[in-house]
Amino acid sequence: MNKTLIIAKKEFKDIKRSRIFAYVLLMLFALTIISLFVSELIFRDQVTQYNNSLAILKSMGKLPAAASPQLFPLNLLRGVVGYIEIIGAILGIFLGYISVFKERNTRAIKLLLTRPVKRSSIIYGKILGNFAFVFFAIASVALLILLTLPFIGGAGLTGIDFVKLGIFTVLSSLYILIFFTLSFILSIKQKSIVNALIISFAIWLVFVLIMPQIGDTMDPDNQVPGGFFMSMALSRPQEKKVMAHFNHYETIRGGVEQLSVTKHYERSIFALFGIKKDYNGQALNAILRDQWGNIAVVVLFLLIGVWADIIFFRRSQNLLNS
Amino acid sequence: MTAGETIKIIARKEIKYLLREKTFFLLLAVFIIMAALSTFIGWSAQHTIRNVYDAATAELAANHQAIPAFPLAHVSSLAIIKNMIIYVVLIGSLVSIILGYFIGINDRISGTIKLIFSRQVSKTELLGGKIFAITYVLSIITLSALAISLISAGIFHVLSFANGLKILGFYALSFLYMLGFALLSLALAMKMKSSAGAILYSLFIWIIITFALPELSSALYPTSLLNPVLPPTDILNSPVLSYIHNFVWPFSISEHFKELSAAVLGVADLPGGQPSLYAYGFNISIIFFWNIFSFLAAFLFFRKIKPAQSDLYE
Repeated sequence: MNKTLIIAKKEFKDIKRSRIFAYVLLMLFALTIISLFVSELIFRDQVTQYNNSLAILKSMGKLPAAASPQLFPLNLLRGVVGYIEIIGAILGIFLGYISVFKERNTRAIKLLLTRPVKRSSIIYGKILGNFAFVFFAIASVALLILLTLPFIGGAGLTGIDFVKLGIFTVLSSLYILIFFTLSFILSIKQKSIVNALIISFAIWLVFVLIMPQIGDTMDPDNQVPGGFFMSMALSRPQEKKVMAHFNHYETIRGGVEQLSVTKHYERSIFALFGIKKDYNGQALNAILRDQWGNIAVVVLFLLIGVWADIIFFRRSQNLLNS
Repeated sequence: MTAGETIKIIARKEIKYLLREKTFFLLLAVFIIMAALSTFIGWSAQHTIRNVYDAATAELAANHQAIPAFPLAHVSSLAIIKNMIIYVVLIGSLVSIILGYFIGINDRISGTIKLIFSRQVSKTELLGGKIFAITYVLSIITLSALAISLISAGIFHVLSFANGLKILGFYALSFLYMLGFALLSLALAMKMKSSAGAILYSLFIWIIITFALPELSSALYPTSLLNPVLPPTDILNSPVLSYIHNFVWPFSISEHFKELSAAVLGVADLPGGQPSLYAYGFNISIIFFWNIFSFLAAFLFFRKIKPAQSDLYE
């Protein structure tokens, strides 16, 4: 068998045996179920409130201005996407850390390099093995969604929903692998491997939580519960006309958000699932055409990470000196 | 040597060790930088929304539409500091976790637990020294953030005696909130069989407290925490959500902290009216219980230390 594949297989087996990763997966499963359940309850509550308002309006002889809430099952996955953004990234960081830690701790890497195995085969094998595990983990979450959504959401999924969940699985795996490459490279570079873990968390904190938070805080529409423009009764074209006066501010705000790979991942998945309402009911082709830029940024971040891992792994002496 | 002197020596040693940890300072720098930036970001957002409102009213007037009142007219002057509530929940608690982790794990990684207990040092004294070190370092971090917030409030002309006291009250609460995480992380750093496990389990608890419990108790999506204003979720309309809320709410420590902090700073959005003193009393009790729980976890795990088996060989 190809040496890269042998290493990938061993990497996958090692991860599967680890109790830590079993707990991370269990946590993701539990939070997925909780999130779906809560989202469904929120939706049901919206329907109840709408029906109550409708009854009051009818008794007054009036007609409702707003349409009845319509269930798009994939909209219920908003919380799940949030957890993938946060816990998925943590999973990636731990995979990268453990992948180097076990080699350094057991000194197996020295033994491995005495065999006729190229360093490039080792790094390709490690990346492949970890991608396989992450894909397996996210595919399991997607399967869990497929199995539980009809029961919790009470709505059947269409063929296109299956395709969307497939794209979600691939894109989420790529997103998580970005954090694997980050943690992997730091674990190789740092003399103290725990420091690599903590630096990875500092970077994760800035890019996954702080930058999107700054972007959200600077968004004028986010300053008022329910939205500023809604409270001003401005239509969408009017909102655009008003915001045209603040191009400079919006460029800075957008720039802060653009630096975060998490925001690109979130935007593409929110569009795919119709969580961003403008995309509800749009054809998949149209969504992908509109979101290709965000998807490309996720892929680009990953390619840079993989490239850096390969370069540094080939040159690293820390692995041998540990 | 008295117990007090032993505790002081241990605390001094822990702080000395911590000062060598550059990665701790990296996370601390993120917290301090965000403390400095938070007021500017808050001011910038408030300033812009006023200008957006003026542009919006001009647009409405041109179309002969009704002009609503400025929706943020009632907002407190300290609203420009309210981002710090989120930064304490997100960054402050993580800094505390790393602080507790380093102070708990350093003896185990350097293999000195056996050596320490070969001297006349009791488990209680060792724990006392570590907790003293954590409290001391966390006090300095909190005081630094307080000083930054006071200075930036002064720069943006919102610093009065009353506002100064409010900011002081907020940081006192933040100290308590963060201390709970540091103590729990200390407990796990002494208990777990690997250093990675110690960090990971602390992070699990942080994720549950910060993201999962608010979703269950108040139907808030994980990323809702990042928004300056929480989405309107009148959850008490739904009997099931209301039931879950009643059950989970006492454990949702981050929500108690956020609610109480917003009240102390005077920046709470209160669609349902002013909460009672009882509600605030409940909030603060939960934060105290959080500390007691974390302290008890540290105390129990320390009692179970087996000096011969506690060192980590990683």
